[in-house]
Amino acid sequence: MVSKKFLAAFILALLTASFYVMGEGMVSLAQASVFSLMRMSAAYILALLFSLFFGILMGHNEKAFRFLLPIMDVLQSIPILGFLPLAVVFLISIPAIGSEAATIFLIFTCMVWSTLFNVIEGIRTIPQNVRDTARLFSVKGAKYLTNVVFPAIYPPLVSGSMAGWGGGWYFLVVGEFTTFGGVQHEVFGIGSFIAEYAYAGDIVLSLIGIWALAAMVLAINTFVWTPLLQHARKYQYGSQIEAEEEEEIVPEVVEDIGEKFAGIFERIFSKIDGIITGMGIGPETKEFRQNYLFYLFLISVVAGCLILMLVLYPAESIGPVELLGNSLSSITRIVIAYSIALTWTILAGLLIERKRWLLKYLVPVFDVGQSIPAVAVFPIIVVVLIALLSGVLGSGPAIEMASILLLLTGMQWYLMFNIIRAIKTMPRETIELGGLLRLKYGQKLRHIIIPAMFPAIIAGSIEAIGGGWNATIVSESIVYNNIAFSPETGGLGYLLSNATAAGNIVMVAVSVLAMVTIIILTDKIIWSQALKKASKYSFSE
Amino acid sequence: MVAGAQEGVEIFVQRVSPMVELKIKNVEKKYTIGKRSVEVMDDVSFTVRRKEAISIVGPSGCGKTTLIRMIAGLEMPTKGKITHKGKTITGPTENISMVFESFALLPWKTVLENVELALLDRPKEERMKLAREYIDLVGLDGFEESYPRELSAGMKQRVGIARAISREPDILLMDEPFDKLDPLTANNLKTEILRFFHARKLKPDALIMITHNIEEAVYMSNRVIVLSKRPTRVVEDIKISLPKPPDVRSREFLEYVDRITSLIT
Repeated sequence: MVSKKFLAAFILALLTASFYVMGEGMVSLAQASVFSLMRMSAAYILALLFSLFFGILMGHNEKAFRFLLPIMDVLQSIPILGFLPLAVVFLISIPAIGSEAATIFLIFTCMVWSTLFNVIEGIRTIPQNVRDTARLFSVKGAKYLTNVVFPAIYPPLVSGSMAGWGGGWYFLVVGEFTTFGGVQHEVFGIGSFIAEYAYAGDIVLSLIGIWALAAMVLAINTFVWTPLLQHARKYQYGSQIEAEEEEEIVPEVVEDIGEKFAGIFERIFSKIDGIITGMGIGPETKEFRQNYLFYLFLISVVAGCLILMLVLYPAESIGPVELLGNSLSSITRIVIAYSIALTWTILAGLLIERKRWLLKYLVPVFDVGQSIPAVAVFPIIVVVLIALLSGVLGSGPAIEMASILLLLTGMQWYLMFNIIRAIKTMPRETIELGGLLRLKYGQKLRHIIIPAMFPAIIAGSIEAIGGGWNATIVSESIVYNNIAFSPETGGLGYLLSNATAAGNIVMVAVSVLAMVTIIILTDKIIWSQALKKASKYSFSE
Repeated sequence: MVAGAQEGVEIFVQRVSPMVELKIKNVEKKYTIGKRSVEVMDDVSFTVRRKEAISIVGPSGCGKTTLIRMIAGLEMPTKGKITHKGKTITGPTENISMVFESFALLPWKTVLENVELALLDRPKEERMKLAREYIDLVGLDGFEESYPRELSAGMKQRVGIARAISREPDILLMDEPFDKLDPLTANNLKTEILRFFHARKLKPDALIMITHNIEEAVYMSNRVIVLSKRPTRVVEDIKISLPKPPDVRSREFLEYVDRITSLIT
């Protein structure tokens, strides 16, 4: 992580620059920063409570897990603007605190998923011998929670929180500054500070805002997350043993809720399951098949809603062909950005693997890079690409390139940080084996390093593609100097942003549903297969 | 009957020759942690002869692992030098191979592919043939297509051994090779290693093992080198005059064990 000296220099330079540019106006920059920090904290506390409750429930109760996981998965794939109508309808109208509540809710939707999924993972990887020991000494209920569950979820919760905060920072600008139905929804904070000046075309001031944002991100990482991460290492189980399905000791209340929740669905699905088995098709195990079926069911619900929307409100929404075209242009952009991200992060990973001392210098750079939200980079990208290249390429290709570049900022870091983690945790003996057997570098790459990175690449890809979809809403609708730049080929993010600005709830729903359908389908078709394959490459048994 | 031998047990002929295989001369090792310099090893010297099986024992944290890593060429001495057949070791060489405590098998490769990894410089057909031969030798015939996670710890270490000896190295290094195995499996494997080392006229020419199990050291080797606490020096270099494999209940065996134990504690 960033050294404290570097951070001090970074902040000092920021203060000097902001004083030079803004004079006494720098006080408002400080206020904006504090307000945003408080909003982030409030959203984080909500995310924490939500994650602990549902995480513990899903971590312990197999039925609740199988029932809720697909739902959480679908919710996770909804981009922040998809939640905006919800926030507007239910929250903004609350007197006095409406705007704040809506902003906090929007930030919450960006933070909560990584904490939730990490809590679940933490519980599900408690080693069997620890569970057995607890049973043997009848450690139950609250005692089991404080002595076994909380220590076990602590390390993954900290790393999930870091990722969640990252997501929160990334969309802070959107959360604090959006237009819905022609009404400006804005709260005072560093996000709206950046956005306002960027939209007005004041590059210097928006850069100062970005600088302040990066300083805050780095400071929180240095003083909160890094120490916590180090402290949490003590609680890490040495080798993560796959917990076998077994009768579990859980707080009874939790057990009860989960039981009732899942019982009904269990019955329905075992019926369908019987039919499928009779036909002799579908995946091998019953659990897997039920899970699979449930996803299938959810996808059909989502797709059904989508079709219903298109049929019922043809005036407000768009034609199916047009929707398909917009989807394809978003997919194309994501695939291009993903390919670029994959190439450079793997190359960087290989370089770091050979020259490990580079980590010390590169990680702070990556940290700063990750902390800068795509929305905030608008002015620079717009000015450099659109202004300079449109003369050469024409404005269409220039905007396409700007859009892909913005998409990249929302995708690449997931891959990079997963790959770095894989390099750091590769067993020393495995790396030395290459030297000991005197393999050539090409052989070492092919037989040892690339396979060892494989699970991290898959995990990073899943996160990156998810992040990419989320980023389409900002990358396909770039506002600078009060002019909106959008790719001529459109995109789902473009549709969603426009619908949000115009307050067209039908179109918001249509674009969100289309996005969710695509994400879930690719998740289940491509990524679940890749994940299964990747588990073979894992060093933990 | 030889003193210390067991009745009805096949005794291997030991053929230690005067030829020097490996020479460790005045080796020192220092690590710098931050601004602090830690002296790990101070003037260690000994010689390994052809067809000798050597065990290195010492209190935990005494730098046994550092020593074996330096012989493997994975680390360099700060002072002094290690020579193999007269040539200074400056990095991993083809003629020195190693077996790890934690096996170091690649989870994504089958048993056959894991062994083949050591033979990548050979043509495909020869590589497959050699790998199969050595998998046979360590008793894993029929497991060529299994993955490491499907094997018991003992079988995994057999793969590790097959991989190490398939290169026909002059020297086979073993870093606490039996530590993760249960005693029964470990005993079988020890006897088998003694068999292929003494009975076969092929490589390896020398066996160097580090262990913290003194009985294991006496059982396996012709010589036991006892190291001191940090900074490490050689406390004593003890020749073990016992048949291979020795009778672990014989007086001679126990005397060796007692003597080495008293040197360490």
